[in-house]
Amino acid sequence: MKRSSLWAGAALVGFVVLVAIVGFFWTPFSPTSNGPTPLAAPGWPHLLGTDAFGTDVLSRLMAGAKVVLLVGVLSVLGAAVVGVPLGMAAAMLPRWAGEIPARLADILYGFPALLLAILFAAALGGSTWTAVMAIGIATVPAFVRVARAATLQVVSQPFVEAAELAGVSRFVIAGRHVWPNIAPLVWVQASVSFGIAILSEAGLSYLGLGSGPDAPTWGRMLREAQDHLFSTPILALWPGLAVAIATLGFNLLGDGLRDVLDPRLRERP
Amino acid sequence: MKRLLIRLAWFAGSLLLASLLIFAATNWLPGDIASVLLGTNATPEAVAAKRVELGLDRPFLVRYLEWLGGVVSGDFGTSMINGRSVTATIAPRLEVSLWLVLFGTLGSLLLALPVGTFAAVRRRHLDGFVVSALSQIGLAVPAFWAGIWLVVLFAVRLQWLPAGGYVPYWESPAQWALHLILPVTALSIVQASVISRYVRTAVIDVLHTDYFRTARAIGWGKVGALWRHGLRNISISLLTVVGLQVATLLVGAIIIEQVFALPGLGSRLLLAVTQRDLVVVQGIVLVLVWAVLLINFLVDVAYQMLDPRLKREAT
Repeated sequence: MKRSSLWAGAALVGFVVLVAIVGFFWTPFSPTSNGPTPLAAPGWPHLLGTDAFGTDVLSRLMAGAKVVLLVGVLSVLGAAVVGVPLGMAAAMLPRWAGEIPARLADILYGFPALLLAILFAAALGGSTWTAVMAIGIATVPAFVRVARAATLQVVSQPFVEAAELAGVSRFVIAGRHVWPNIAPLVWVQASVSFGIAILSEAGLSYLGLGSGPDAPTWGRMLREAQDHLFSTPILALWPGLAVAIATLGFNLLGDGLRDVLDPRLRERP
Repeated sequence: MKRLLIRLAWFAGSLLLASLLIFAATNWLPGDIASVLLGTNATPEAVAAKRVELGLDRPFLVRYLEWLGGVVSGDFGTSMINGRSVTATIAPRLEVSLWLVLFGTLGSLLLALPVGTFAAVRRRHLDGFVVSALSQIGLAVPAFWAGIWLVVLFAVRLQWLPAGGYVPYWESPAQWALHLILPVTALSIVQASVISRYVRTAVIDVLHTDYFRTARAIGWGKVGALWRHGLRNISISLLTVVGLQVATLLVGAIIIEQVFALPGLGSRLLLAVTQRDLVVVQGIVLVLVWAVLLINFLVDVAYQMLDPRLKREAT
């Protein structure tokens, strides 16, 4: 039981990353061009079968992993780079100034990634980049909240007070004393946000608001599979399974990291 | 009372700011909506005339205030595509979305309370562990994927329930219920796994309190003591979670509407996006975002009223 979720999460995430890397260089068949045998059952040579256009499902899944990780990494990284300094500032600035980022984060909470993506898609047309932007912006408040709460705890510690009395500037305190102490919680949040980003991306591409028609995303595969639920329901199995495995991996990794990095949060027996 | 007024001011401010963000997103980003609507072959004169027709030649702030003034008095403007009133387009669809979110919330609570409590009480046993592992998996499943499999099982294989579509309540209550069962179940299952994890943590906290131990010591059973003394404490912390989850549920409902071909706000919104009908898009997004903000505000107020400990501090 001990650290089992960390290892299970790391294994699942590692598996998805490995598939994405392999899929970047090599797939058994072309993930985008049509084949001669549509709706083939799983077997040889199409291990997971083919879709309505005869495209190899396994190859599409592998190519889709790349898109999911790209969107996840860019949106979560962007959200952390914006959100963490804002959260730290909210905790370290005088009260009236600190309220502003915290309240803005509250308002942004009312804008889920999907609604933002819809706004962007209406204005700019859907693409991988509008998906990254929407998911990224929607993820910022989570980082603001985590960074703010963690920083508030750190700045009440004696060593920060000592640094302040020694005349160390606020920026140096933030970088040298606060950041190392809140970093573990930021990593945990990043892992959890990654899981949410994968789910959001799947939803967006299912609705046709994400990457373009030529990009093989898991959500798009699910949408196409829905037209064949009566004849070949198995087509709807693989992409959803891929989403679930990737999300489960990052969720477990986040839980495991939390247990290891922050003993105070460890659950009581 | 003072605290309530401050909350109210923040709430009004956030409604205003949200509306500004939505209006800015749909009016600044696209460059020139008039040329988008007319296509690439339009003459500059035609584009200019269209801009005047849509009122795009006037300053941003004027157009925003005009739109907001209309919204406050119930007029969301007219569609850029078919010239119909947006209010009339939205109103009949509110009902479907409302049922989905309402029953989705109720269904997820009905599932999550017993499941989470079970996982907490039996947490040192195999069955409790299995239940919390299942909820972990439920967290990772997209609601629309669950919906697709419910269709495969109950509509395609067993043919017990319709695969999609909607019948209004006043036409046939029975058909109305039958058409809502699968979408509501899809939303509830996934939502319940989120909430059940909070229930589990909250129940574990109660199991460790002194008052629970005292209740057990004077002869209450585990379930009885939880019911009598735990539920109120749990429900207070649960309220916040349910409030925050409403945003997720609204978004989930948009996708679920697509899976089950339900004529709610979400499907109309997606149609407007493909048509680039910005007035309809901003109207529906505004309704959804304001609904989320309103519910979070109400939850916040209810939280302070329900929790006697907070009430004493507030007055």
